[in-house]
Amino acid sequence: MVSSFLHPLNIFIVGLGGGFLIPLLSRLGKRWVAIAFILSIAAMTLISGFSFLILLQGGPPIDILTGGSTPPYSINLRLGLAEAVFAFGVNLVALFGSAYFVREKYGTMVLYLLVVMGIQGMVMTRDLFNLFVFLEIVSIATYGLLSLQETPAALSATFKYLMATILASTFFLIGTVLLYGATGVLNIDDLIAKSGLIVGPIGFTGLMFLLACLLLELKPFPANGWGLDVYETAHSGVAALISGGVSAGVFFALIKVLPLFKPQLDLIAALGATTFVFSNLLGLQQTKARRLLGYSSIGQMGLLTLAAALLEQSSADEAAFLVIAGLFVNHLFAKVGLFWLAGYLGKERLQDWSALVGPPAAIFVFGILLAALCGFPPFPGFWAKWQLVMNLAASQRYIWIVIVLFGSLLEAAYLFRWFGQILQSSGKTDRLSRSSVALLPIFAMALLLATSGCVAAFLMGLTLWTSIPLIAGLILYLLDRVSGRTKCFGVLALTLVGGI
Amino acid sequence: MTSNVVLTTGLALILIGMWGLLTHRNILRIIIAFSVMGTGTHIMTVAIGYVTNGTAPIIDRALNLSEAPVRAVDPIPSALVVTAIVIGLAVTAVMLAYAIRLYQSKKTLSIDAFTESKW
Repeated sequence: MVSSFLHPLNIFIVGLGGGFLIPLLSRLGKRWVAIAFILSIAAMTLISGFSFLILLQGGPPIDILTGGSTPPYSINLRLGLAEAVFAFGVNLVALFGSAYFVREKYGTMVLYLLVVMGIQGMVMTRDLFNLFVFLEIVSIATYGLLSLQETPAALSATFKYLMATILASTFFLIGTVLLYGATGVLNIDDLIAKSGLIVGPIGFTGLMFLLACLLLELKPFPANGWGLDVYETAHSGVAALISGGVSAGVFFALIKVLPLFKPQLDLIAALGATTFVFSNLLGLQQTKARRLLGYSSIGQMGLLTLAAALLEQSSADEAAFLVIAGLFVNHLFAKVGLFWLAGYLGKERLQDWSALVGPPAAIFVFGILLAALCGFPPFPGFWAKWQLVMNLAASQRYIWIVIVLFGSLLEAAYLFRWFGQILQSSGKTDRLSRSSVALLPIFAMALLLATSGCVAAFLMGLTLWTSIPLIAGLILYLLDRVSGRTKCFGVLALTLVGGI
Repeated sequence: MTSNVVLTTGLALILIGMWGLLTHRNILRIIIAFSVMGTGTHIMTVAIGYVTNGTAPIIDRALNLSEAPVRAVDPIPSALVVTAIVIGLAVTAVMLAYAIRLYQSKKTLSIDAFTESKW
């Protein structure tokens, strides 16, 4: 009984049902709309969370077959462990993020619900054309959400976003149709099984269009100005959803079809590496907070693409799961939290974020989000990068290790320069006048990061001992009044003990 | 066997649409270019499922079960194209809505007027 209520198919029923119900309830009053909106997202979170727990305990992947027949005669959806991580992660973030939308018009809430449902569809579907449909559901609902900001800058940024994503989805449709022409199937698993048939000009062109769509949607360097402008000008809640959720859906679509691109894996990894390094390099010269977050977001997607392609090459499935899930969860919680913080503060310039120094909890949570984004232990990004580097070292691909470390160093440089800037200029700007209640979802993200870091450490069989640098940093912060020499000795002693 | 004439027409329309996207700076012309490209994609989809001298995929007196795999037109691309047309309509409507908003903000449809960010 319980399992039938919590079946993953109900995610779509709740998403679409909520979408129909909210306009009807709007006639009863705003409170009813808000209740239906939050309950719908909470139900989707509960369903994906329940499935995630079952799969974590070793349950088999849940297959949903439409029309009661098997593929290729039906469209099938699958919720395995990897899908559950993505779906549950996005739902959790959407649930906390809904707090920033409950006061909006009911149409906005419907669109928000459709984006979240569409992302689940992109993650779960195993049919190429169905993937296109979910991609379009997400895109069209996102276009609607982007209209929340009506400044000329936001409008022109949105139109650019529209052009880029429509071009990408047209490429996806062309690729899908040509691949169908070459193989006669649309099911992704069947396509992979029949990849030997994808030959000749039609098959190759289809593959290239499909790849072009997915890479374009991930905003590769240098063709990413359209994404950056949206991150900078959109409603912070929408920017957070695009950065964490929509990108996750597109990235998962790329992972699903990656086995089709075996000969192009080096090219995909090189594109990911270029995006990762150059986005972080350009991040160094940014002066506006949300544009900087945009560069970091695009860089992280580049890193995920690089990791997925390299691990697909080495056929390291277990390592690939840990690396991709770790990097994804880390980026999702940290970046979404930072975008919400940007919306909470309402400050554009980096130095104006010094208003955060007022409430100690706010600067603390900001520090946690930055540390996680930089890939510091004990957050999941560290374990994921650790596993990635170990895997690359084992297969003697040292140049890729250098790229990963160099890009990460650049990211840490601009994020911590920002942190230092804020601490130094404290007291020179206005204090926050907003209520601290709006900070609660951001605190939740910090808490989720710490929890998922512990889970990642446990899964990888590593102890929390590696998080000693962060703990040492906290102790030093508390002992700030002690003389510099004593602190230096303390750090040296800790380094010595840690090294041993 | 697919229809090469229809397939080539579809591909030509896609290329014309792309050329329009790259060369025009008026928002309405850009939207028209997207529509041309979309139409090209739809024609190409139909061409993929076409069978020369084939018939509708309905098994009756005109088409018996044994002949169906070779004589019937593939119904899947037709089903796909209906969905793609509906999605294309929605996307064009959204683009036109944004075009109206952009026009209201600057009283022009040239993308050169929207200098807040690089194009």
